[in-house]
Amino acid sequence: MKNILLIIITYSLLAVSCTERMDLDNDLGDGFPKLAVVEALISTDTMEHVVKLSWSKRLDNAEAPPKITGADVKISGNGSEVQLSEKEPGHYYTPADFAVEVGQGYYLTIEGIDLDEDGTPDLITAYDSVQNTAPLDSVVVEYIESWEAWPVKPYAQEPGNEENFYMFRCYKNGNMVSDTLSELVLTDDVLINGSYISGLDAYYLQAEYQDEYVHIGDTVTLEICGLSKQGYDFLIQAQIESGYSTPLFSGPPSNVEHNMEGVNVFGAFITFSSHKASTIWEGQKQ
Amino acid sequence: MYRIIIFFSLIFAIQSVFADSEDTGERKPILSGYITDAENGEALIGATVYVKELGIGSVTNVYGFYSISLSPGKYTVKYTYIGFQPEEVEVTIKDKDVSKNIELLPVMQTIDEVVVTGEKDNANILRNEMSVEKLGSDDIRKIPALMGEVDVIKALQLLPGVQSPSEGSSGFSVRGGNLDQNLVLLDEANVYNASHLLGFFSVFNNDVVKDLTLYKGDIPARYGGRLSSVLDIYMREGNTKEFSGVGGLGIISSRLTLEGPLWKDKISFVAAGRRTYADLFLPLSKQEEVRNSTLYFYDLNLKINYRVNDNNRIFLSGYFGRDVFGSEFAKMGYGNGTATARWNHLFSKKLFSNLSLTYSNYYYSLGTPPGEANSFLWEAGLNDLALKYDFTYFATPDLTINYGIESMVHVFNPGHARGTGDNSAMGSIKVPTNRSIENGAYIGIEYDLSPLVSLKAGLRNATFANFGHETTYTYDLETNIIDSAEHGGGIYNHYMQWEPRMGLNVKLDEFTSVKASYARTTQFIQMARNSAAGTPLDVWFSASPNIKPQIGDQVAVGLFRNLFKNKLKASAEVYYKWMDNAIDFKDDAVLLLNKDLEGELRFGKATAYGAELMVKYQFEKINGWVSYTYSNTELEMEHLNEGKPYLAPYDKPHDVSVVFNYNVLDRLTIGATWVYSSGLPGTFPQGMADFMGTYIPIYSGRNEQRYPNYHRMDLALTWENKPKVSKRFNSRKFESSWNLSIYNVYNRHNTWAINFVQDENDPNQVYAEKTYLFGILPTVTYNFNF
Repeated sequence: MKNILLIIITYSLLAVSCTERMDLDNDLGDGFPKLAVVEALISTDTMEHVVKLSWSKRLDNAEAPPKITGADVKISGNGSEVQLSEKEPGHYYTPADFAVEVGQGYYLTIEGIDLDEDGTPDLITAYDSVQNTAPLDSVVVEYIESWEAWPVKPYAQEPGNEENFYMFRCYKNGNMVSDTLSELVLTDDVLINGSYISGLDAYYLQAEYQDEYVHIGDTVTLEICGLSKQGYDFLIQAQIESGYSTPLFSGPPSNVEHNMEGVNVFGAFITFSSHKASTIWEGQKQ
Repeated sequence: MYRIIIFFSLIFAIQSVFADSEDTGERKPILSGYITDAENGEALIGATVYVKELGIGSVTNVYGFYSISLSPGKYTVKYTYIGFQPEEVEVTIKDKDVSKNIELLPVMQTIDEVVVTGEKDNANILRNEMSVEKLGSDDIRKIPALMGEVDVIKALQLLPGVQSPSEGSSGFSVRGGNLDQNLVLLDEANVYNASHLLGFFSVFNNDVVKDLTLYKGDIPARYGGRLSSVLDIYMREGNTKEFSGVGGLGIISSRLTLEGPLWKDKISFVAAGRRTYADLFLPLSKQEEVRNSTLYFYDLNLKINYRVNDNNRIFLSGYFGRDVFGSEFAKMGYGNGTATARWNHLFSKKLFSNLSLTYSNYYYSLGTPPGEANSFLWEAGLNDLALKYDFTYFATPDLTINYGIESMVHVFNPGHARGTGDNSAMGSIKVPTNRSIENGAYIGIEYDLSPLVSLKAGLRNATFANFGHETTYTYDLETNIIDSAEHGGGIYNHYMQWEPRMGLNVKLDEFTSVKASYARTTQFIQMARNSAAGTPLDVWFSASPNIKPQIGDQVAVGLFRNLFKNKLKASAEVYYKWMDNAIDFKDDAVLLLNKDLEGELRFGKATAYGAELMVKYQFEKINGWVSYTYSNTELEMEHLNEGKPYLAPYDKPHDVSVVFNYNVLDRLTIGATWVYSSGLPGTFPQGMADFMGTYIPIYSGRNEQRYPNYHRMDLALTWENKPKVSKRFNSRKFESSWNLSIYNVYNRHNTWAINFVQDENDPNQVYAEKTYLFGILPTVTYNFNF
């Protein structure tokens, strides 16, 4: 709902507004501690899942954020514990046969990092639970010429007896095209609770992006993910805080609430259920 | 209710004391009547009546009525009003009351300004009121306008103590208050969203505005319901003498106002309409989505004034306006409607009354076109119905008593969203309707202790109650429901507050006075507005078992000094105000379609102080004002910003406005404004965190930084064409003018928003990007009247 409003307002203002780079005080960030940033999205798919660790950086630093190496990273829950291995700097992988299960709770534990620069390593922990999702019956793709976009439409029965939070991701020929935060489509079930989801526009593949342009014969896959409320809140707040804000519709900036426990730490540990459905694009049906 | 009954029993008892003295024949005879504009019959508000021999006087009320008690004798009574030729009348008072209606002639340009400027134009010194700003529609018309749209609220933003929340916005913050802390009245009916086009224009058509008064403090006891200010706007009554019109053609809109007598000197009407027409050009666009878009607003004003006789007048007025946006993928509409019926009645020459019945409606909708799986419509709004009965008792020349009662029912519909059309996969969600009633009873006296000292005191009793079939909840800090209560109808929660008001005016001489005031105000309804400038989709909500009424106290002291025979009026005011139960929203609050909105609120206190300096000048060819405001406003909320104080969103320590009008030639006028203010508080990132290839900002405290300072100059040139006299239409004069307005003359790119953007080519580089709305913007408007 917020996104629709934002589009209307942005559309209205584009006619009169202009943008330009500006300089702010160079002392932004002075005396502010660097934070350990944790990015951990673990699904019910059996695969190598990755937990990424990096340091935050100052606004005026144009370099890539430094990776956190040498940490001891574990995921435990459902009666077992797995050790993640650092296969590239700052990227810690689960074993290839790992998956989380719906209805279970999991802990992320990170040790071996000195977060407060006192010379001793500190502990980071986080908890999330895996929520149910609506299994996709099928998915349909259409083309809207005036928008130069292909809406991807899921068909699924929304479970009506629980509060659900969804994330949609899209793949073309097996490659994820929604691989950045801003490309995730997030929604709650307020307006669809218990309904049969019959062709809602869940994702738009846009012709202006090379990796999203759909040719005849391409396979388009939609993934519906069931998130916990805290995971949904984190992602949607992170989208808002990193997105375009205006005095008309934006509240005061604020730190995104997250589920990391520890000093000087930021990020999210999100476990989610996942279902996929695919279709082959055969061109617009008349 | 029983308190109100007791209160009014007391009031009528007091009144009967005075009434008894009338019956005994011991009282002084009364000189009373209405003062009107001789050209069109409009009542003149605040016109001065001065009895030369006694050195006493009075002023007309908002309906142009005056009353003054005099001992038998012969008097020279002088009637004056700014912009009108004064009139002296010899009046003989015997043992009977005298009714004297006066028509004042407007100043003609050919008459020497020195002659017509009222020498007793020192009402700002004499009146026991401060922290009050008054603007006439002529003052507003001279000010350069954004896109040529003369705007009442943009003019107010040039006054000391009044801040604009962002460039181009029609909201305003008074002495650090929130935008919802201003009571905006149009002919006594509440206007809940005074903006068109997302706030860039206000809903008030200046052609039908007769008079506006902004109370920034020292709010009279007859007003209640808001903490910071009252903006009281009256529509014109319509020409009772002859049919006339006024209008204009601009680049984005046109407007037309027609008025005239339906029964000469008895019944008059005024009808006005405006509409933008930028959307008429959209079909010419090469882009299909633009061709299929809709974007316009319109508004209509109508008023009928019936002078039944000298003791009875009836006014009916209304406003209706809508904004409509639409495109292939979304549509939005919003607007206000108000209706007012008023009856002025003189119970006696001393006792004036006004009975008002008002209705206000605000509606908005958001949706997508039907026929799709995503199709939905979201509607929300509110309705107010109010009854108000005000009395003014002119007891003696030194004592005036105001008292009255009002009751207002609020029905808020916070939102109903549902799928539309057979194909929609959307369900339905409705946030429960909220009902409440707000009552007020007041009494106020204005008493001249001596020729130099006058005192004002008032007391208002404000009550509020929630009623209806509702379920109320208790929340923890995470907005989780921890308790609930079912209410089966009737009143389930109420609040009561006494609001004392006081004022003192000490006249040091004819041109100098010192004033002081204190006012307590209470606010029972507020707006869920989690944005700086606000949108049409803001949600109003009321006090409840969880939400205590906001209470404000303000003290102010001022020095007022007129120079050059009242042609230059200087004032300096300092104020301090403190507010309890102030409301703000938790970080990332969800305000829309949220039935648990109350759980998103945080409560605390707010303090504001400041100094306002103003010099207003009115010379033969030059007029305008210069104002400077220093202010500070801080909020302190439990569980927000770690409990530490933070700057209010509209805190601007320094604010300067310069307004200048110069009659270069008889037919050429130049107007200019220059504004300067400190940048608004902002929250900028202290660090950036990389998450899924996107940098998320990390902040320290709220509002610890500031946007760049703001300044801008606007110019206006108005060329009056030679009047044309129509032989066909009874020698009617047709006057016209061209107005060239240049907004932002030196093309400064003032910051409207700051975003932190990842460079597309180098995603690790994040830079600050400012959005500015308007560069230099010239517009031409053709205005006419006949």
